[in-house]
Amino acid sequence: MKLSILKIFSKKLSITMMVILGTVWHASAQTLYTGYLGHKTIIGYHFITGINFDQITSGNTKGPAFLARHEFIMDFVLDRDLTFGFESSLSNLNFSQVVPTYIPETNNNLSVHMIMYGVNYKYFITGTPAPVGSYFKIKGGLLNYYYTCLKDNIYENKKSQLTYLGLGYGKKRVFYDKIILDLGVECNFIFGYGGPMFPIFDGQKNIAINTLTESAHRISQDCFINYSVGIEGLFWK
Amino acid sequence: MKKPSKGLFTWLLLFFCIQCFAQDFDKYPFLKSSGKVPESFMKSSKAKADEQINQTLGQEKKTRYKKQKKSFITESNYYIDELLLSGDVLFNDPVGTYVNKVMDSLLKDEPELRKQLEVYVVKSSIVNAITTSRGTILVYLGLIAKLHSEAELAYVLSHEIIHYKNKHSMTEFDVAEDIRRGKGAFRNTAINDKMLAQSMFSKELEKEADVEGFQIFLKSKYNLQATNGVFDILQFSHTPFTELAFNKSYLETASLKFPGSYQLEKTRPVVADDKDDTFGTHPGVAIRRDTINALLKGQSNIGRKNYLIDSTEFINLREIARFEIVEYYIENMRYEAALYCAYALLKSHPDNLYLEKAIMRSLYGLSKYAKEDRYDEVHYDYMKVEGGRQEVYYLFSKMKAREISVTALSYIWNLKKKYPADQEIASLANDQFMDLVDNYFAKRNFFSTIADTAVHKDTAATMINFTQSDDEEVKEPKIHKIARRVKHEETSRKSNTIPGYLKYAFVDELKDPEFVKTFDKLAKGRKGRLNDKKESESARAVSIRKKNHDKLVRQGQAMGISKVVFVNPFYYKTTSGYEVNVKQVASEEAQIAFNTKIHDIAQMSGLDFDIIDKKHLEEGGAGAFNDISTLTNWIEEYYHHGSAMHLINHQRDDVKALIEKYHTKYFCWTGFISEKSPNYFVFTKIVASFFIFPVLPYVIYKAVQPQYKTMQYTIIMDLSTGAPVYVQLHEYKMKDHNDMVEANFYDLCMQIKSPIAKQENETTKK
Repeated sequence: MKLSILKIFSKKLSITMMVILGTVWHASAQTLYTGYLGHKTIIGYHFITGINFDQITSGNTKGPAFLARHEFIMDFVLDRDLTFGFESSLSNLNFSQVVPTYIPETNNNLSVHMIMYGVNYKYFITGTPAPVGSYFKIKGGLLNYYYTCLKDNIYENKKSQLTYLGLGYGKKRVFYDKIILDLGVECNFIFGYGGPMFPIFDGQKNIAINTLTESAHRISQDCFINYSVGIEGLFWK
Repeated sequence: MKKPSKGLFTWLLLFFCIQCFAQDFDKYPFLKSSGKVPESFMKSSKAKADEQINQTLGQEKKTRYKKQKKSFITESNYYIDELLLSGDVLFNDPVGTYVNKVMDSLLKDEPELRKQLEVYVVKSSIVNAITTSRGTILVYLGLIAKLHSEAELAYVLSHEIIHYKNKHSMTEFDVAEDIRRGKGAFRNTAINDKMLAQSMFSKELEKEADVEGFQIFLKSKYNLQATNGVFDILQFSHTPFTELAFNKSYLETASLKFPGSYQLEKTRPVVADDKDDTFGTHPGVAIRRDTINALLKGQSNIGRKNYLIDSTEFINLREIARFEIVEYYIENMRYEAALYCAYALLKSHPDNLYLEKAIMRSLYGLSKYAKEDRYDEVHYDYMKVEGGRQEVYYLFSKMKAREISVTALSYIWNLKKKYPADQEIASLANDQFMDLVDNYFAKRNFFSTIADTAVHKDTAATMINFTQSDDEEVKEPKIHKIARRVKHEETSRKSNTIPGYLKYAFVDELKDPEFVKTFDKLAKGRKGRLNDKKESESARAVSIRKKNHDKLVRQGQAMGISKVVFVNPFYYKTTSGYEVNVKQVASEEAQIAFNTKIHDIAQMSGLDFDIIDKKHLEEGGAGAFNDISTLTNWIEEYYHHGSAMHLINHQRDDVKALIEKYHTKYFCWTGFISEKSPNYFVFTKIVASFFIFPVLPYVIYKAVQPQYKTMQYTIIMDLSTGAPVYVQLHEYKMKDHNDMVEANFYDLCMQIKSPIAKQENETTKK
């Protein structure tokens, strides 16, 4: 299963093209959709947070880890109950780690940055014209991982690219005919873990470093359910 | 030069006065409101309730049941306003103006009290008058239609004045609360005794109104004997405004002759209603009459009159009330009653077009309901009525659907010949003809062209078969007897046997080339029409229609309407638990806000529109008020029949006039109903959420929130055809937030104005 998904996602360009063409085709087939009072474009910012209550993250001593993500979205109303949007998010997770066996001192300044960019569809289920009411969301895209790690006791920045698929549920309300408040919950599945990992070094350090990268991955993935609150604006009729 | 004599002037003046009040009953225009809209029609219910609360409870330091009284006043104001603005209550109309003049004469020495009272008439056949706690007296046209003189009206008003003056509604409320809570003398009282106590108190108040009302009446110059006339009316309130034998020959022609058994030999005599209902609100009429007769003793009636204003005007206005009753019966599908009343009025207004059309509509309605197998909805049991009208009900209980169809066509066709230019008659004649050909007689050769010469010995029916005798009652319970009779009538109605007399129904008509041509033309197209009907009723067609409907709901329906009129937009906020309650104040506020919203959003969408709203009447808005009333009656009639029945809705001239007035034939009824209900299984939901821990915040939020549901209903009618263009009921499982209402209404506006795609248009036409 994992392999087949990876295979599909390896053809990123063709999938992206298919999504965009399908969306354009669908939009052109629709004649009667109004958006909110004629507004069909939404631009906004979401603050997304996930809490990891699991303290076993490879020796993470700080207890619950909070993942904060800042997401920017641009949605277009495609249909009476459907929107299509682009999203891009940035997150930064600082954490400390103690791996007594290999690295005796506590590393307090380790961090992982993630930049996600992808597309999403929101299907409005309350029967009200999109973008008002409750919706289910499906999203997918790429996740660039930037992390600080130790190499020969020197911090180095590294990058890896993963893919993600997400599902979500949320509610949008419009105030003053222009501003949207969006509250939601979403979960992301990240694929490609174990792919472009940190280069292999010698024995002990390698293990230590692997543990570190693993911990970064785990923190992001264990924050499986994320809550989001967003403020958006309605533009252009 | 000879001066004109005084006599001539008097004669001219009298002639002029009669002309002023005389109504052209031939083209009866219906009662309309006019002039300045009274303040009570424009002020919000909340404002009126607050005012009344201040007046009634404000000065009292200690008031019993203050909270309940406030709620009672608010609720009653809301419901009174619903009635006032229903379109059935009229202001500044000729009948209402006359009633007000009588009220003025009664209270000419009490100007302060007169100022507090406002009197209106209600378009309804009910024989009644009511008074509200805020001083609104409503006199029903059913009562006016039965009055013998102005003096009787004066006594009725005197009675109602006392209800207001002595604050009967509030007093009754206090006692009702005492009884309900078991206070004082009502402690530990059985429920039956409580009901009896309440009834007794209500009767006491009525008696007080009778007696004290008589004192007001006594001060006037009206004929005191009129009180007896009022009690006569009350005793016979269950009968129509006139008692007249109905002869079935009115519906017969030279060739269409009903069997003698379709007429009763003897009808049930009209019996006065003298019962003193133990749990009723009013004392028995006989008791009331005796009380007043006791007061009448020793009172001089010299110099007293039946009319202080104008007898001619009174009689004319009473006649208007009677015409209105016929209209009311038709609108409420009481076709047999309408037919009887129109028949009775035709005696004094022979060849009156309106009355003949009323009979036409009644026959047409009966025929349609019989064809659709919904006859029981419009036909009343003849055993439950008395007097001459029993003949009408009996006749239609004997007839089968095909017989009613033939009778209706015979009447309508002859009316068409009499009034060839009348569009309504022509369209009904065509529709009735089509029904006859499609459902009962495919070919005209069934009907004889030679008159029946045989002598029939069929005699009039008696009620012996079905009336009770004491001996029979012992053998068979009454309920079984009624059930047997109803079943017998139903079976005979559905029977396929064709009575012989129908063969000769159209002997004269078949000599008319137009009749023959129409028959042949319809007979030729019958097969095609039946195939179309069969096709449209097939499972496949139903499934396609459902799919198309679902598609339209999903994708929206472009209607290509350039202008629409929003009629009485509604907005109700309700709570549901054990029962559904309307939150009156919140509903009224929401309704007022909704009207503004409609205005803004429709304008934003670029739709050409008008709004006529009972909650936004302006001082000079009598025209809009009348339009609302006309449209409300029209749409109510449509709902009564149901969309499944193909029945041409009442094409009144004033409905057609609205198309010209508003420059559109599309009228839209729309609104929202928001329902709040308690959240059940809160604890279970929270406990269950512990198993999916991250969703706990959401579950807690949902658990503490009540459940909301909002419904949006819209129907757009084409008034020229009487057919709906768009009917939707959307149900949203969410609260009626501002954005949700706005988004949905904007969407509706866009659907209305969006042009129909060329291809779609062609499909619709097909």
